[in-house]
Amino acid sequence: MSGTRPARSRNSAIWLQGLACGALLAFASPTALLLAVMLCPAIACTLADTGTDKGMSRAVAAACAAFTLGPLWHLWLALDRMDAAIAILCTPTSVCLAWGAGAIAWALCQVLPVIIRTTWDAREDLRAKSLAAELQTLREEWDLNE
Amino acid sequence: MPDEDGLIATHYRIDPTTPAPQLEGGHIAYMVIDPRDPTQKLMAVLTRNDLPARPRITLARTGVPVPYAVLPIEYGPGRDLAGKPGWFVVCDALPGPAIGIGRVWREGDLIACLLQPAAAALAALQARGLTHRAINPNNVFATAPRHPVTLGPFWAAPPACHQPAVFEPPYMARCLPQGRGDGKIADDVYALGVTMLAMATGRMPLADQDEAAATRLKLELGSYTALTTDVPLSPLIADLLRGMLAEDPEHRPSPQLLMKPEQARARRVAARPPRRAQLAISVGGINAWSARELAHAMGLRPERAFPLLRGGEVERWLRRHLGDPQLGMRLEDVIRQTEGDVPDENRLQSLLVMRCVAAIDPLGPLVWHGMAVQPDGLGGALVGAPAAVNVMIEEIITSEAAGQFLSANLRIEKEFPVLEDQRSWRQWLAARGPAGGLKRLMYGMNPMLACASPLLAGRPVIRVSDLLTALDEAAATADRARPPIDTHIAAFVAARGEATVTAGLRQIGSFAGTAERMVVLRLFGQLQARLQPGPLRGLASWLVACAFANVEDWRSQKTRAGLQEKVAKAAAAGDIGAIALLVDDAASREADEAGAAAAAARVRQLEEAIAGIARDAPRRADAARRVSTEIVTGLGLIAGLGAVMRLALY
Repeated sequence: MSGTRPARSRNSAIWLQGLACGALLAFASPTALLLAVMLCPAIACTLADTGTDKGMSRAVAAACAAFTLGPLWHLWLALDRMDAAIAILCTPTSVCLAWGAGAIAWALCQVLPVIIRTTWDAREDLRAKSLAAELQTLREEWDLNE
Repeated sequence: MPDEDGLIATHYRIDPTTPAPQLEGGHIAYMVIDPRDPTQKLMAVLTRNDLPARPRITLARTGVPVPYAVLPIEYGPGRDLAGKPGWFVVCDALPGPAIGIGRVWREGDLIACLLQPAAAALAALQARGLTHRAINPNNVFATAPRHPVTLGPFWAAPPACHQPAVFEPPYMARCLPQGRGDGKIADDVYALGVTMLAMATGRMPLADQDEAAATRLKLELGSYTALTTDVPLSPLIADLLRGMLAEDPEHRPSPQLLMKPEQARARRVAARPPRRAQLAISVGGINAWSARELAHAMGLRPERAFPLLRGGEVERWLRRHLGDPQLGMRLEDVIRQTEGDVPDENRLQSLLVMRCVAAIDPLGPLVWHGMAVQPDGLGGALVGAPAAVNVMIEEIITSEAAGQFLSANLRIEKEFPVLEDQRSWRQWLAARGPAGGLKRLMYGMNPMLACASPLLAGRPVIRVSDLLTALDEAAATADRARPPIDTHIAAFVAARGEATVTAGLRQIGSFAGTAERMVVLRLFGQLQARLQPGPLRGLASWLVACAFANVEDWRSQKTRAGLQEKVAKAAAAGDIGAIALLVDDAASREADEAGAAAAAARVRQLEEAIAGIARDAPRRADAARRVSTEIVTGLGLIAGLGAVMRLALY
């Protein structure tokens, strides 16, 4: 019984998210359009991310979201009209900034692990060499066979 | 060991210009000069490594001089003319050549020049508790004919070792030459009597008989009759010889009496002639007519005598044909007692024959499987003896036959310290390992025997202190793959060394193991410390080369290297004790073992850590990915926060 509880809550969350999305589409269609377009990289990344923690999706979403807040504020200042949303979306800098931020976040998620892993491996290699040297010294000193 | 300058016993120099007289027994003599008193005429006799000098030699040096005999002045190491080391006995030079056999001596010369001087010498020896046991014409010396004689050297070999059998009483003649024991002064009187007879006739008595036949003839006829039949003798000489050649040593005149021949002649002991049977008893083909002949035959043919004894034939013969029922009863007691004492059938034959022979002939020697020996000559008989004799002597000692022999023939036990000694003999024989067994017994019973180890390459070693220096010298040419100790050296050290030093030798079975070699190293170190022979560089290097100072079992290479360096330095300094201390340091060994255990634990930790580093690579990659996304997410959030703040300010 306990194994089914997380699955049930996950299903509930999906339903709630769907309900929120539906409500957003019904009552704030321009906002929904703006968010859908501006957060397109995040949505795509979420769909493509097979990792369990969805960390990369979160990173891309955070980056996209950071550059979606400004256009969203302008849309709401324009009383959340559809033409204002289209006008904002037709402004290349707005969409490009959000998508660019998402792309940079994605790129960073690809490059940073390599750099960090390489750094850590180098550090561990040095430590392993130091330990191996100590091991060799002890073996030679005390005639301890491998 | 001898001085490098070749002086004998640190004082005496060989005089190569003066020839020394020939000595019997293969002993070589040199004339020597004492630089402290060059006028003294001295001689040095080279002892043989294979024959032990008589242990009581030092007694001869004390007290007033002994007339008409050459006694040791010094006993010590030296080098012969060829530079070969040896042990020498320094004594007064002999007055001239040996009297030899050839010239017929007149009665007056026999008395004045032979009997009286020799008797005086024997009396002086007797006063010191010594016997000569080497009186024969080839060992009696005189300046010139008709001059008083001097008895020759007698201390460089076991008693009567080189003595022809005819000069010995029958009970001594039967014994192994080296197993005749010290005997009594009466045995010297007997030898002097035979010598007088030889000089009176100018020929060797019983020269046409071999030794066994001569002994048998003496037993059959009595010594006097056997030796003097058809020999013309003056009445005085005949009377003297009758007493001197008496079968029972108690019946022979004392040396003091012989110095006054007229009194000695007048003292006649009425010895009862031995009973002779009407019918002989045959023991293994030897016909016996008297009890002594029977004992002799039984000693020669023990395997044939045994069934005769157990079947009662001997007892019946003693009662019926010899007419000695008392002896028969005594024999019956001995047989019954022996059969009760010895359940082992194999040992019964030897012990029964030995006890019966001793009961029948109280003068006879100890007989064992056909071998005859005196109880105090057992040690001498061991030296250089063939394996069969060694086995027999081993049996005699393990059976405590010497004590049983003395009690069976009713001799006074205190005449021989055998009963006290035989417990030690058994302990030596029973001792396990290289320092025990027959070799230990041989060196223990012969305190003047040189160590016969081949490792010494012929160097004479009488004392333990000489052993160290001899091994040190031998190290230069020795095969260093072999250890500088063998069973001879181990037994020699165990016999000569102090108990506290040699205790470890009794606990090892060989020289192969590390612990055993440590015992040997410790022993040499203690001997060097105690005897102070100086640096022993050769021996120390030899011990190190043979892994006696083994540091390989030390766990720490650093400690090993340090120890090897220190051991090499100690070996170069010739300090075996220091080597032993370095290698045998219990505290260092414990620290080494503890260090090895700690190192092993640390090695396990390191191996685990290194394996963990390799094993954790995927985990690190995953962590790197997670950290990266967190960083990027953080950057996004910061950017978002910046955007919110900008909008708020806008």
